[in-house]
Amino acid sequence: MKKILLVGNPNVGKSVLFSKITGINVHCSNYPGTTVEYSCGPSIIGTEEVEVIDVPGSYSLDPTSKAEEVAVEMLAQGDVAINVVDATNLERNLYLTLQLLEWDIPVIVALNIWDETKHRGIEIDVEKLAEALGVPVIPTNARSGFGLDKLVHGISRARNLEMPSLTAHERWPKIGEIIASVQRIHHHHHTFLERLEDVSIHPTGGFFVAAAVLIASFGLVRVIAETLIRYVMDPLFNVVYLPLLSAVSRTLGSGSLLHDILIGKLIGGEIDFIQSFGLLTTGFYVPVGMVLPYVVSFYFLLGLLEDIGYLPRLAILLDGLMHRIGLHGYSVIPTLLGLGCNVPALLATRVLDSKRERFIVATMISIGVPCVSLQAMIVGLLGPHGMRYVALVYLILLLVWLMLGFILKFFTRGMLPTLLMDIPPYRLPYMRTLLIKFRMRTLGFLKEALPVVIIGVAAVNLLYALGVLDGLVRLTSPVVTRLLGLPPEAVLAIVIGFLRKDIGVGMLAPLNMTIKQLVIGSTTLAMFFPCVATFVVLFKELGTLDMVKSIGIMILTALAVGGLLNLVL
Amino acid sequence: MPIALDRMTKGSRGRIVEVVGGRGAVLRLSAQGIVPGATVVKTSELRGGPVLLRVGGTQVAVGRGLARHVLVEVITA
Repeated sequence: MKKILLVGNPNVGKSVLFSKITGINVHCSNYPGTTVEYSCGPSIIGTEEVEVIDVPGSYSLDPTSKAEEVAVEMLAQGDVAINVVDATNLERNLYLTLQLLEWDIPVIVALNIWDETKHRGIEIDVEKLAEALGVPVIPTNARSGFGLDKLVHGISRARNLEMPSLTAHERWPKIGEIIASVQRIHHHHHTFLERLEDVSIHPTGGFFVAAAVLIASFGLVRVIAETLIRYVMDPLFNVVYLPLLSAVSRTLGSGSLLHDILIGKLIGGEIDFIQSFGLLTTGFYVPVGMVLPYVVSFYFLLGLLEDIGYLPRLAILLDGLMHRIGLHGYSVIPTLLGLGCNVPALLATRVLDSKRERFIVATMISIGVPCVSLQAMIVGLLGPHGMRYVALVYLILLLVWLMLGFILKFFTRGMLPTLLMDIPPYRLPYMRTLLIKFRMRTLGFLKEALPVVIIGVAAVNLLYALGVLDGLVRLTSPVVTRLLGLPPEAVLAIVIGFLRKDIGVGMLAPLNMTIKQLVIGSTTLAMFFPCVATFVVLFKELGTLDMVKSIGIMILTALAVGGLLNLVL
Repeated sequence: MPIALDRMTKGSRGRIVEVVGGRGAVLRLSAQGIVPGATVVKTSELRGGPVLLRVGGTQVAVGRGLARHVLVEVITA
């Protein structure tokens, strides 16, 4: 099958174009939230079936980052390249175009975001541009679909020029000449979005915007999630699912092994979704009924912020602060992702090019950034005692996160590259790509979480029945009771925390702990050990040695902080 | 007398004369249009953070450390 590559700078509307020419049947998308992963999907051009590949956005073909390395590798395997160019930003985009023309591949240029040129007072002579480049140039507007037919039909006219290779010093002057002859810029009044762009990276105003955006986002995540729980999940579980389970429970008979595994223990003669701890009760309710609503609303908000173009501004704004803890502004993005799920967050550390920074950020995320599942359970467990306790846990985690940064900065060696990025204009999000991304992430969560929870709950019930867990509780109880001041049974929660943190925190619920113990328990659990999915990614991304180091730091931090809290609180 | 990007005053315009640094830094900067001969306007800067430039119609944020490696000749202050 012929491979058609979409090549272009970041933020030029490649994904929108991709979704328009492939339809919804995108089949080999990798885990979202990373720039190195790519999407591909089938399409039909004329009568021919082709595969369209959305190559990671890159500024040049001299690989200076992992994403660009991937782009260059993919280029070698493609048959035609559609160079997607932001018409409102022609000069900078042409650098990649000129490099592409030097490669042994037919090229056609899509002059995307064409309608915006009018608002921004930009006039481009398309014919002259095509002549100057030597390949077809088609103005497109991927969102509205304008020009896409013409683009697709034009693919057969793509030309392979294989121009002699230039250096950067030769390319830019050439671009200057092309721009001078094809583009004219008229004065225009700043649009509302442009004013907003300026404010959000203003040295002081920017921080107010950032605080407002973050507070509003987290508030909205909670409001959406809690609404979903109250009006959708709880009624579904209590009115529809519970009677069904009660029937199953009666049929099996409380106390039988199968009942213990599927339904779990009855609490006061009734099924309790959190405490019963059976496959069909807790194993299904926690991920779907309690956590999924938060996951859904978090990913929706995150997608919105991403597509509007806010995240790079946050990175720029926080760059100075992040430098003090040995990181640069980019690390903000994986860290924010970590508040959803640590797995895509660790994958997203790939945008960081130094090994040292990846290690630091990955360790900091695994310890100090609670995923949304964990947060949902912490809110559920501590919230009834007062939101100030929830705030306390967040504050402790934030402090730990900051201190780890300072400490790791001193104890690790290696280069920390500095930030360099272009600042994309704000764009109104495009619903279709937003929804595709949202669907992928939500399904990703279910696929990843459900089996682990169910296997985990089954394993615990089995081990419990075999008496293995009692032994473990006895063995570790000195550390847990003396150092952390928790009841010995909390060991189980910590062990299960390895499978799923949310389930682990949920297991603290039936232990009748004091609020102090609950704060210590949930903070320790949050830091102690990554959940199994995070563990696997940590291993894959960092390698064995760094993974072991990272986990060592986690255990030490958790014990130290937990012990300290036990003394202080 | 050329000065580094981070020393330029806000709102001034300059022509890049030299990029001092390793191959990686030079390549990254050149993909953003920051090459000798290019004209840039320093639009803003964040304390301890990046320098913001307008180059070839785009805003680019250049981290402090990199900004020190780019030498410009100020055209208009």
